[in-house]
Amino acid sequence: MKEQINTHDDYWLWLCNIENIRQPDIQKLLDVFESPEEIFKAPESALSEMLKPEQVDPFMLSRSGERLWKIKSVLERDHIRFIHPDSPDYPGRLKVLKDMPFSLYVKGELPDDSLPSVAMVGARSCSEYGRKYARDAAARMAYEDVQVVSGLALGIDSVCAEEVLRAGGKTFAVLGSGVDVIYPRDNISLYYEIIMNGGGIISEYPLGTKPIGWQFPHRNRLISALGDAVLIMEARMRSGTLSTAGHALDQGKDIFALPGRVGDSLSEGCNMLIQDGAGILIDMERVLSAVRYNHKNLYYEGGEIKEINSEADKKTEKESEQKRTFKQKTESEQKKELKQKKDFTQKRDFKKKKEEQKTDNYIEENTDRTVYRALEITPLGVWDIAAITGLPESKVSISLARLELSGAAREVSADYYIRA
Amino acid sequence: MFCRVFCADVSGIDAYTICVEVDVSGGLPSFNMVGLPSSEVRESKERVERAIINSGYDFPSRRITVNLSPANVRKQGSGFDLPIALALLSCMGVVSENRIRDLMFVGELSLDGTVNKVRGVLPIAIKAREEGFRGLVVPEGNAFEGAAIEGIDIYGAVTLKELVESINKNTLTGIEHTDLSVLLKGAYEGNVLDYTDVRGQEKAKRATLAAVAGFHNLLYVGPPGSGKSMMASRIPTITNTMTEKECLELSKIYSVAGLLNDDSLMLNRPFRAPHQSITTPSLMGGGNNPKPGEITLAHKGVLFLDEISEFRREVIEDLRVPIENKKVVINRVYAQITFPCDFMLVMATNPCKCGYYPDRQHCRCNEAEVERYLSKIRGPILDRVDICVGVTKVPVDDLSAADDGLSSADMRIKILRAREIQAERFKNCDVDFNSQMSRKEVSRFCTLNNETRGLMDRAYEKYNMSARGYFKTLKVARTIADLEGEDTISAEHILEAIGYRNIYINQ
Repeated sequence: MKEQINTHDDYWLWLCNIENIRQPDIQKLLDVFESPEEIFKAPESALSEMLKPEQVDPFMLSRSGERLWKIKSVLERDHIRFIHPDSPDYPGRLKVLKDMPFSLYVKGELPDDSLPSVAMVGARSCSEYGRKYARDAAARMAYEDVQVVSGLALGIDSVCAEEVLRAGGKTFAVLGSGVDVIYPRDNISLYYEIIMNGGGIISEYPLGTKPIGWQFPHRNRLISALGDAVLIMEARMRSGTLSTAGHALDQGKDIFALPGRVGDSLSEGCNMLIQDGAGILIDMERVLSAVRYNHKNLYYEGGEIKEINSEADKKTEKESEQKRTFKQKTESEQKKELKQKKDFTQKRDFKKKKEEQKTDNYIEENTDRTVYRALEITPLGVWDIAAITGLPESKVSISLARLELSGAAREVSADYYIRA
Repeated sequence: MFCRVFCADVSGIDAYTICVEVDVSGGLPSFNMVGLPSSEVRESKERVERAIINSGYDFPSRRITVNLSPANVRKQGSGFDLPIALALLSCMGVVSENRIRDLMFVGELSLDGTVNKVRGVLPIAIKAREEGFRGLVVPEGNAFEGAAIEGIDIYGAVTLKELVESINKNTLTGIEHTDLSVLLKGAYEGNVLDYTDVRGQEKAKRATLAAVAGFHNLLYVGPPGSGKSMMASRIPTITNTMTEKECLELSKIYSVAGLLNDDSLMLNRPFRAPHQSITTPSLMGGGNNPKPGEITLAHKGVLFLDEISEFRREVIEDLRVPIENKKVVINRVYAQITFPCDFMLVMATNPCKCGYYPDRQHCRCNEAEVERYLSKIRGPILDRVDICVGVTKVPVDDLSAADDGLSSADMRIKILRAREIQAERFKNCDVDFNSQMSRKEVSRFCTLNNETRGLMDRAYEKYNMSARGYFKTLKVARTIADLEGEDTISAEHILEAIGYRNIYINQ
């Protein structure tokens, strides 16, 4: 004996898991029938008019609910939540999307609407330069309690997620495959770390969906939508990262791009964005204030963005005020926290200084100093450094070994060094 | 009528004596061959018959039996034609048996009676001398290599008829003994390659120098077209001249492999660069009657594996044991054959699939791809690398620069000096080079003071080194100190050795 499909959640889950029926079809059906329940109960004659012939059969079969129960049992077994637009948990940031997803599968948590968040994306084959600044930015975000959303891709995405976790923050990943399909496989441990540390893995695709090419640029719209601002760390021209930036523009998000050298192919995309008017990612304070401003002043409700100040409805304002007071801590608490943060920053800076001094002590000889000055954040070969400093390669090599031992340089590939 | 003639065959790189017995008796005309001949030996009866007839002698139409003794060893190769023909002619009274009793014969016959070259003459000559034969008759084309052996007369045979006549007239004259020491002295004159052809690349040259001096295995890492092969192919120009013993050993290998040219021996150290598609048997040695593979042909020289990650994994894995033991053992049902393979391993690889990592202007490989690229060979072979060095594409200005950098002659002088120091150091040990030192010898010869010990400890911690890696760094530092002609290892030597560290493996 099978259970009946009778709850609102079940109707949504059923609607989002019918073979051959995709988001636009669902939208079409909803336009006519208004709710999943009505669609379920709709007469076949009405449906066969609206659907393509190859869609009708699976649709009718799915009404038996067999497939639905299977999916439900998997959801339960793997602790995956199913979120639909009527769920109370549905992220406010997504509700404003024109093509908002009707289904969200979530492992772990969803980004909290009451906390600011930022989307951080970048190239998979990133450079040491991009890696370093992505790390810095991610750590800062985590420290300021800003949630970081990215895509679990290799390169910048992974670096950001790892750094947030290291700093004890929360990070979220929107996948281009089913939420239970870990792609790329190399990030399997990162996937679980994210869940275990209060973050979450999110996907709009049904369970078990394979990572197919078109889904990645498609999900990029969710990454940008979930951030109150979008940080582009490194992007080549015509890259997936730039597609995220494109979505962000459509959604009216603030974009900050990490500037790079002219001619570096990994910075071309970022530099172009800056030329087109994106923010320049130089000062994190600016990014933070933009993120906070956007989060505070853009109030998400009922599928529209409304500036709080222009909101006339008293009731809503009252509600939002209540919300705010609820979310905001008492003044004394705030002060205390502020002080703690200050202390922390001071300590960190002090530690950094101390480390620098330590490094300095090791750099005894003049050649070492010269070589250290020649080092950059982009890898340079021993021969390049020799050419810059005018020293013979043998001397440079010895200096580099000494610098590396003291922690001032790092060999990233055979005879290629960067400033550590 | 019965007659016996001596001959030899090669197994591995050593020869063993075979006695060819021929009996001609009455009965139905036939020609039978016994004594485990392989098909090419069995075919020799056709060649022998036609060669005898075409040389102007009568071929008996009687019952002929040929036995190759010892009968339990499988006979291979084409060197049996000449002894069989002579034994047969002797049975018929054309050749006096007394005159050929203390001679050994090898050679293949053409149908017109010409004596053709065979392989393995050098080991056969050595065997003939050991067995106390007065002389060895070989094909004219092999006479030069045979003459490298002292203490036995070598006769070069041109045709069967000529040979028979000179035996009968007792006018066989041995050819002049080849003086190896003279030949070896002139060996380096003919080198056309030189390290001045390599512009820039100071560190890579220096690393090559150190690797050759201490017999360290070497890995070049660099983008396509950066001159990795160019660098490696010049290594033979900076090694020391072979000793007579080494020359003979190597010539023996090439003689067995049939790779020795007319009128020459192996005077230069070999440089073998097999292609990535090589199979295990052709690398290690193999075949029904095992022939030496590339690793044996690289004996006393360089084995260069370009694009190491493109080689098959099994092939690379099989290299481990021979590298360790300096010999390769091939097992067959008939015999177990051992080939020597004491070579210097030089490898080259791109840093990633496209070859340009970490130059992000060109390289679009992501982290995981870079990581994966070398992981295939990481375990089996990369931990055999003592020195790892980056090679780069040389900018155009450097190509036309006046400064040539180190020349092969300069480098060779330094290496010979370092080798002398090592010879003196290891005169009472059973190792020859710094790279071969055991831990006991490392602690004896690589003494550290407080400063250098502190440096090594720091490196050990910093790079999370294994004990093997720690000792490897010390051995390389020892070689660098030898190159500088210094007794004690200084901090600079250790830092230079750390600069050659293999970053692809947690040593």
